[in-house]
This record gives sequence, structure tokens and C-alpha cells, in this order.
Amino acid sequence: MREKTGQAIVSRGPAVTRRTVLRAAGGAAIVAPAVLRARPASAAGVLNITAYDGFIPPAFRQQFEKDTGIELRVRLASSQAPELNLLVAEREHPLSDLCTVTGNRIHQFVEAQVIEPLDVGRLRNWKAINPLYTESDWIAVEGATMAVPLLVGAEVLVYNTEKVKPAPDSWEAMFDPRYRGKTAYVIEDFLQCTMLLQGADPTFASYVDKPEEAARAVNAARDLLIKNKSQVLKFYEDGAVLQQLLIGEDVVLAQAYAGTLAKLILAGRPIRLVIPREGSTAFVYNFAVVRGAANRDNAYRFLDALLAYPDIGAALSRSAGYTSTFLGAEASLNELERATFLLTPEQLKRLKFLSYKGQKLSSELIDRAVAEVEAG
Amino acid sequence: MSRRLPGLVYRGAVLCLFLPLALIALTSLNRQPVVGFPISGLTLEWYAAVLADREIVRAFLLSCAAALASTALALLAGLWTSLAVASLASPLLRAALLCGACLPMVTPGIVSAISLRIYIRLLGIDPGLGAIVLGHAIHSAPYVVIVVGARLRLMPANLAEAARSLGAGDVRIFRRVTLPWLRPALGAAAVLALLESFDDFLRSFFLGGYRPTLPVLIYGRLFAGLSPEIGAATTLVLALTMAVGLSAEWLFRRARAPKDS
Amino acid sequence: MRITRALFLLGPVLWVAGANLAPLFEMARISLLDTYPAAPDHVARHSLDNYVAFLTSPIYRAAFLRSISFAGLATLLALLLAYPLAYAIAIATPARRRLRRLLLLIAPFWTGEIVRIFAIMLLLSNRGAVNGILRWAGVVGDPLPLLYNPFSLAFGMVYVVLLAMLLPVYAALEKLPRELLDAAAGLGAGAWTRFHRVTLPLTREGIAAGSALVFLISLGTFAVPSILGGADTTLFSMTIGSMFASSAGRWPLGAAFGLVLLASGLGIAAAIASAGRQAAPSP
Repeated sequence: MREKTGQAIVSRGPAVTRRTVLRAAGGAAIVAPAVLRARPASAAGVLNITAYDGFIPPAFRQQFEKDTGIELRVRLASSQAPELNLLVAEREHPLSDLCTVTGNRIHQFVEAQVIEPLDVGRLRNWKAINPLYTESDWIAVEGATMAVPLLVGAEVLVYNTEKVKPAPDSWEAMFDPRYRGKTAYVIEDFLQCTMLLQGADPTFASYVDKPEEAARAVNAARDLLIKNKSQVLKFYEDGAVLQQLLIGEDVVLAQAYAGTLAKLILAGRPIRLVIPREGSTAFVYNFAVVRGAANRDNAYRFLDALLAYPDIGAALSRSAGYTSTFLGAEASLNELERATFLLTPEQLKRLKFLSYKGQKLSSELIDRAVAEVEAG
Repeated sequence: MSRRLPGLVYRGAVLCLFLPLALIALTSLNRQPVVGFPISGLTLEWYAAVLADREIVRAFLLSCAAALASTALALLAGLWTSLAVASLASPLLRAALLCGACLPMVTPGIVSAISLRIYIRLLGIDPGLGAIVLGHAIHSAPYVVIVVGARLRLMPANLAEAARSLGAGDVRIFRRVTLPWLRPALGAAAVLALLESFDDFLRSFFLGGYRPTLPVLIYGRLFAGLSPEIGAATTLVLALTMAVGLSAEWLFRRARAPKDS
Repeated sequence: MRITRALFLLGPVLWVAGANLAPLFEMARISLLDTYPAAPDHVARHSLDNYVAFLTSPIYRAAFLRSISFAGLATLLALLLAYPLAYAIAIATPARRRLRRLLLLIAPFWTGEIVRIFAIMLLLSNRGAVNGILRWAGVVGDPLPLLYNPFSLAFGMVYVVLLAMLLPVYAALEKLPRELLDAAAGLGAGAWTRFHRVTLPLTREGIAAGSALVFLISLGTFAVPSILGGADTTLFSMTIGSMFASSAGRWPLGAAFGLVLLASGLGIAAAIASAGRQAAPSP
């Protein structure tokens, strides 16, 4: 409201009142949606992908969009839980065509009916993937292949080379009193690592018809963790948090996914990883087709294009930080990259891949054990 | 000493609030893509990357748009609800309406986000900006109800009575008596609602389509870990906010200057 | 007259019913199931088992009680820090500088909760700023463990919710009739008496509003305790989150726990609100 004085009429500068600001804001709010509206789809259509960051190498994406005219729309998730929750919430009218699924969660996606079996026949380049992964039993469900394996994630023991000596080779190191209060792990995964230490089967494949034996194994692991709870500084869940734990040197020894550490190692931090001699578990990151996908044809074109060349596998390694499943992908990696991303034959020998059959049993038992370790 | 104390308290608070962000700004100059100390070398490449990244700019604009629209809606719904609560005679009805109005604040975020995602499908609303605005407004309205309600209860009853005895109708009383009295509360509630919306991740993630808001985009990029690029984006947002806020305040002061003299 | 009054009430009632209550029905339905998402061949069973699970399990009850006390502590801390700050700006700063000071204080809150939480890690970690300065100054030899414990949790929580307490209290303080304070001083009341006999009672509503806000925010908060907490600071909101994150179809437990938290939050907020109620002062 202006005062009716001579001075106000000779106003010095713009008369900005609360009213004009509100008007401008309201106007902007109304106009904004029009400005931000998506451009109309091209003739070749669109492809909607819900993926982890880095799972579509930028150069590949540009090339694919240019070659096919398909518009790629990507929604980022950074862990399975929110992604699954989202897909379940929109199950009736799915908003994506492809999604990232990890091998250890695939049974949940299948049961929730959010992904559909893969029509392998439509993928000319299926053979480009190492048969070790395509013929495994974690993406095959009752004879159907459920997803395209792209990257391998192994659980590793990570340590600060300046603070942890000698270099550890066993999960036992996590219980070493010298590192009390300086360790961290993901309870769900470390339970399985502890089972390995105690000689049990973390894939649950051998317990499928023996639930009591499985329960005993899980409880033994749980009890060991509760007894040694003072070793732990923090239970974490996101790789980003572990990175900061290691950078800040609050934690010198931890259980982690190999890919989380790639960035730190390449940046020259005193961080190294090892797959302990008792072995470790591994799982594969896949792309699966969403059930009821609206752009199924485009999805298969995309998958086929992704598998077309081995160095796309290398690009995937660089952008996501994990080992590629493509045959021949290592050819285009340099020395340091090989050390970071590649799994040597000895390392592969120590890895146990989680099986589909064991997942239902394992998830119930492990879930309960996690809550008990957290509270104990 | 006691004369200087308030100034010290204020400056201490500013220091505590800004220090962590200053560290983020510092580490965003790191040559290596790692956020932490020690810093190996200085570079502005991350800032260049952010400014060139259309996704980040779009997400920022989307967040602003959602914040403005949802705050307007929340202020409307919250103010109306506060007035309705105050106008009820029975304390039981007042408590019931108040509880209902504050429900979204007491609902855990994940429960609220998933419920809303399922609910908008029932209403026939597509995920996207509209759904996000609705979701944010639903979440912010209780803030308005609580803050405005507190102020409303303090309004001296005789103010409205006096206006009424002078012949003013309900609408006039609202515009000339109630609203000015509520101004500071509305301002406070608006700021809180804007920040809640701008900051919100869960609802935006579940209610959004393929155009993410800034928190959703940052969260997605956190898969690879915190990067100087995210730090640079944050620092730029901070700088922009301060620039906008301080220049708006300066303009206000200049516009009001004739009155002060 | 009654029709306009009914219409006046209709808006909020519709909003409360349609926007606040209705979305929760689906969650309430899910809370009665035994597993969700369920396999296609699974026969759904409805029961109150999930609620019973909460009442009978010491783990969940402990997390719940921890959340309540944590929220209470956060509210108290926020009040103790925000009130002097609001006072410093509202009363002890000349009018023309108040808005600028307030804006400067609000600016950091625009940067997003997640990044600010990581920023606190940069501040408090063993290689962070605080330890770096302390060690450089020779005050300590080994770094102090400032992170991933109740201290960092409290610090982070207050850092995130400060504004929700500051703004309502500031709004109340700013409109405090200054003449009352002057009159009290004229009558010989000292600074402390003026504060607790005049200022404090008149800002009671602001305190109650801020406390209700901070308490409810802290009760449901997830990010701060998840990232800045330690190995034994599991809060109920994290328990709920892990139900939705689990691989064993535990949405129903999460939904039931969520509704339990909701009901308790409402109850406590109602208590705070009635404690803050006062008769409108007459001039």
C-alpha cells in the first residue's frame, strides 16, 4: 500500500511491495509447468528406465538416442528398497519399462510381480555375456531367465593400509580387538560373511529343505555379532556413508561392496580391498523388463545395443564402478582400472553367488537376525 | 557484557550454521572426485560442470516451482483450517479437526509417501509436478495450522468485537483485523513450508515422474558417493539464496525508506 | 447464516478427510495383512498380529521409547538454543536490521537436509575440521570421537530442526508489546523478572507451537539418525524404514508401526498444545 505523500510518488527505484512479490511468485508458479513440460515424444518413441546412477554410460546413451531416435528417460534410484517400493506402488500402471535389479533381491521383485521374464531370443547379443553369469541359478527362475546380468558386485573386506597392518586376509580381522570401535558393516550382508567364517553356507542353497539347520547357522552368526558389538562404530546401509567413514578415518576396517571403493582407490587414498580366504558372497546387477512395460520393443532394442560391444562393458565399469559381465570387456581397461574393477581368477574362486532357491528362506531368517543384532 | 551478548549469540549461531557448509564449499574445489580432507589440488571444474548440467538446473527450477505452488496451497488450506478450528465452540470438535489437520505431520515419511502414491492413482492424478505440489502441500499444511493457530489464539477478542460494533462485516474484519494480526505467523509458516517443500525427498521420489526435483536428483547421484559436483551444486544454491534474499530485503528497505524518515 | 457457516467448515473438513485421512486407509488395510507384497499364490490373512507384534516385542518397544525420549530431548535442546537466538534478533536488534539477520540465518536451510548431514560429517569426523583444528593447535593428540554417537545425533537433529523452533518463537517475540517491558522496568523489575514475568508468559504460544513442530519432526525423522547415529541409537522411524526396505515382504509391519507412531505423536502433540493454551490477554 502506497502512502499518499509527495515523496512516494517520486519513488526511488521500483516499488516492491509484498503484494507484487506474491503476484510474481504466483505467476511464476502458474507458468512454470508450461515451461518445464516435456517435449513431445519423437516418432520412434520413448524408453523409461529406473536405474542406478552410472548404469547407462553417458556416451552410449547419446549414441543410442542419435542412432535410434528413441528418447531415453531415466529415473534414478540409489538402492533396491525405495525402487521396489516405488514399483510396487505403481504396479497397476507402471511408469518404467526397464529397472535395475540386484541378484540378491530378484525373488522379491518376482513375487511382487513387478518384473517379467526375459525373452532371450529377442537379444541377438546375449552371447556377449560371460556364460558364468547367464547360466547361473540366480537369474533363472523355473526355467525362465529373469534379467540381463551387467555388473558383478562382490562383498569385500576393505581396510586402510596405513592403519591396519598386516594386510588382513580373513573376516576374523573384523573381530580383532585392535580395531575396536573402528569397524563398520551392513548387518544383512555381514551376517552372511560371518556364516562363511563359521563354515556355514551363506547362499542357503544347501538348506532349502532343512530350515532348522539354516536357522541354527543364522543364529550362530547373529550371536557372534552381538557378542562383538563393541567392535562396531556404525551400521551403515549406503555406500556414500561408508566412503565418508573411510575418508574421515573414523573407520579403518569394514565390509563393503567393491564398487563403493573404486572412486577412493582411483583417487589415491590409502584404501585397499581383499576377498578373504574364507570366501565372500557376490551378486550381479541386472536390468529387468518391468511387467506391463509400455515400450517393450524399445526396451529390447536398448538391451541389445548395450550388449553390442565389449568396450561398452568397460564404459559401464568406469561409470558404475563394478566388474563387467561382458566377455572381453577388460581389454580396454588400463592398469589401475584393471586392479580396481577386475576380478582375478583367484578372487572369482573365492566368491559364492547367492542362489534364487535359497532366497526366500534366507530373507526371513536374515531379516529377523538383523533386527536382533541392531537391538542387541 | 550483557549489551554485547545478543550480538555474540547471533554471530555464534551464524558461524555454527555456516561452518559445515563452508567445508562443503571447500571440498567442492578438490581436484579429485572425493569429498574430504586433505584436499589435493584446487579446481573450479565441478562448478563449471554443474552450471553446464541441464539436469541439475532443471531440477532446481522444478524444486522452486513446486515449493512456491505447494506453499500457496498449504497457506490457503492451513489458514482456512485454523480459522475453522477457532470458530468451533465445542472443544471436542476442535480437537478432532485439529488432530485430523495435523495427521500428515505425525505420519512417518515413507508411510505417507507410499500411501500418497497409491492414492493419487485412485484420484486419477498422474505422477509429476501436480502430484508433487499436492503431496508437499498436504505435508506443509499442518505447519501452517500449528503456527497460525498459535497466533490466532493470542488475538484479543475485543479487537474483532470493536470492529463489529463499528459495523464491519465478517469479510472486512478478516481482511483488516485478523489478517494483519496473523501476518508474522503467516510469514513464518510460509518460510517453513517453502523449506519443507524444497528439501523434501521421499514424497518427491514417489510422486514424481521422470523430471526429478533437486533432492531426488542428488539422492540418485549419491549411489556413487558424495562428489564435489554435488557440493558445488549445494554451494551455488546457497549463494543464490543469499543473493536473492539479501537483495529482496534491500529493495524492501529502500521502498520503505520514505516512511522511516 | 448457518449455511455460510456450514460452507465455511466444509472446506477444512473436506481437506482433512480427502487429503489427510483417505490416503491412510490403504496403509491401514495393509497393516492388517500378514505379508505384502505377496506372492501371487499367497492367500491373504487379515489380523491384528502386527500390532500385537509391536506390543509384545521388547526390541520394537525399546526403539519406540528411544524415539520418544530422543524427540523430547531434541525439542528441549532446540528450545534452549533457539529462544536466545530469537530474542537476540527480535528484541536486541534494531528494527531495520532484523530482516537481514533473519534471512542470513535462514539461508543455510535451503541447501537440503542430506547434503547438510554429510557436511556435519566433514565437520566432526576424525579427519574433519574440528579435530583438524584441535590437533593443529596441539589441544589433543588423538582425534576426538565426535561422530556416530548421541552427541552427533543431537547436534545433527538440532541443526536440521532449528528453524522450526526459531520462527514461531521469533514471530511471538517480535510482536511483543515493548511498552509492557518498559512499564515493568519503570516499576522497578530487573532483567530476569521482566523476562520470566512478562516475556516468557506472553510467548508461551510461540514456544508451544515450536515445540510441537520440533517434537513431531524429530519423532518421524529418518535421515539424521540413520546417517549420524551410532551402533546403538536405532530409532523407531528407522525400524519402520527397515520394514519397508526388507526383502521379506514386511510392509504390513511397517504400516502397523507407522500407525502406532502416528497415534502416539498425535497424543503427545495434543498434550503439548493444551499445555500452551492460555486466555487471550486483554490490553
